[in-house]
Amino acid sequence: MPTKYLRRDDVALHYLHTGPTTLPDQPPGLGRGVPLLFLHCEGGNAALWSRQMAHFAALHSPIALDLPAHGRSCGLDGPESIDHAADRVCSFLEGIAAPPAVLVGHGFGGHVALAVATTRPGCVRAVVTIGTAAQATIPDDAIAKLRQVVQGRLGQQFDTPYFGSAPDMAVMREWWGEMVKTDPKVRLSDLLAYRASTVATRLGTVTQPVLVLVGEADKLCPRDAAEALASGLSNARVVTIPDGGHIVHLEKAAEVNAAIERFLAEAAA
Amino acid sequence: MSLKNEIAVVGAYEHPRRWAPDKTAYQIAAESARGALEDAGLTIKDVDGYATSGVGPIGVLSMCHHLNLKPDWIDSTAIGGSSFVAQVAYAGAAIRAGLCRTVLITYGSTAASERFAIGTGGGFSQDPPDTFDIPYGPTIVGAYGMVAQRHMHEYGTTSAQLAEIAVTMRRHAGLNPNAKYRDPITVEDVLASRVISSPLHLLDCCMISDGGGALVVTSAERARDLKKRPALVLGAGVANRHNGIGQRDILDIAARQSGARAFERAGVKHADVDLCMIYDSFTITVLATLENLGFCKLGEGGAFVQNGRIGLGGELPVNLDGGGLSSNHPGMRGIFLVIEAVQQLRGESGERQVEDARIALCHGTGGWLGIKHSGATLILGAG
Repeated sequence: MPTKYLRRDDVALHYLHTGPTTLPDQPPGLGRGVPLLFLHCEGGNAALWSRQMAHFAALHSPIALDLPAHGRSCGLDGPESIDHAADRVCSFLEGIAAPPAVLVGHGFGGHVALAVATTRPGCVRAVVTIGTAAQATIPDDAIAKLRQVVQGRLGQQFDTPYFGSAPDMAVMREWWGEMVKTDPKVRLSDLLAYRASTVATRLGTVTQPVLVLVGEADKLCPRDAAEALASGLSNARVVTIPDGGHIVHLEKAAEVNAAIERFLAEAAA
Repeated sequence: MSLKNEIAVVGAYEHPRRWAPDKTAYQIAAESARGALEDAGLTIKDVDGYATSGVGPIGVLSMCHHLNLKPDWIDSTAIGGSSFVAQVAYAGAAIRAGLCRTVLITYGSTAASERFAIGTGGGFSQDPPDTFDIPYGPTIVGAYGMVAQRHMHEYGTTSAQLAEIAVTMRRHAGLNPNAKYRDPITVEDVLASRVISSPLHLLDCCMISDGGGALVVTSAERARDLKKRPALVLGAGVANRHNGIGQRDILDIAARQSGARAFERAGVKHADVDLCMIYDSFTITVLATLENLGFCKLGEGGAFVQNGRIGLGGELPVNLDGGGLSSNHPGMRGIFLVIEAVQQLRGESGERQVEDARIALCHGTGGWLGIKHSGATLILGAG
């Protein structure tokens, strides 16, 4: 899959795209169908969207971004807040001269997408959230454990709550392999930003259509949390993916892709 | 023919990045070359000697191509992370011998973004002696751990004493805006971090980062016409130890020999040294190096590093940039020792400046302490 760097605010942002490659510093063509911008979860990176990138490449112009300090993007520190991350996303969209895009975000990335929709509605055509809550409930002990990892007191923790009811070993391996590529201190910043997010108070201003996707077996963002998010939005619907866990876009990629495709068709209509 | 006061380091530049997945190692080296030449007030056209290391058997030739250089003198000394310290002396010798006039030394690495497991990696190569070591699975951190364990066994050195070194380096890193880890830590934090290879904890170990740097070396005579105050080479020494495990006392390290030569050639005493830049791959490396260089007696290193002695404002400040433990460690740290020393001698180090720094000692360790390693000592004086 082609990869590129875009230099913004003195940080080189890494992203994946599809279609023909272009010269350095030339953004790729975004003319096929709808531009789709995929935003990873806390501590994640663009490669976690490989199934969506492959699927949507034929009809649309998908892009998956590594937020600063994640994956292959530059920077040592995670975002100070959700809005800070959202500013980076807006800056990126400007940098690649994207027309209004559909933002697809997972967990924390979904919150960033909603924040962009509230602050820069002109950049956003529609939003898809996956396993995102209106107000994230991240237990103190999860934060404390991650802090211990950052302090070097614990090794990186292999947490199983991410997975659905029948986890696939290959998917677990892929997930783990990608998650360890980002410094745990960046993941901690993401989680703290997600937990402190005030985007929920601004959801009423989002007028774009929003698809709220949630895995039926999501232990980190249960279905009622997703429904609470949808209820705060004026134009949202919830789609539940049977047997899916928190990383439903990896575990149940075909179902997730089909749901997004239906949403795109309806949103375009 | 001596190098003393005849050779000068006239350009020094440390690449500011610690995580550079968007760059290649060659780009980092080339950007550093530009920085060091600008620092010296020279251009690439002035360079007629070139040295680098860590680029594979004939990678130096590719680097010449990348930098568009056709030098009269080329060197790619490969004695581990100390290579760049030794190369300052070798460049000086080449200049004194008339082989070239101005030597550029570069380093670039993307060890972190390439996920290169430096300290936990296994054996090297097909070196014949390695066939007796490698089957038993030594790792770099394991070798250094073994030295630390021996030191504790022989002299009663404690983990808290080693931790003091990590705490001091972190304090210095807090004064270096480019350092990767800048938040202060305590001895308790080091002791509470997980054990990587007994008795070394995670915070006893250097990081893995990206990065690079460059130096420009020329004659002292030519240095007088250049942009900045030079750092003069006073003395240097290079040595090796532990070729084959079990053959020697693992607490007797190469610094003993290279340091003695450097002091003798420089004609300075330990008390004359204002600051030390010591390769801190692990905390034990600093402790063993200080002892073997003769700053304290063998076995007294644990007590020596206590009570702020090696911190800024102390009797012998060590690694003012934060070292490999807290600032950067892209795999071969030697060049950063010289860069920081030069900047200190010029009085350019800002908040971490050692007051009235006149003489700086750099010591690089390359390879595996306790198995086979090199030591390169360089004593520099303010010009």
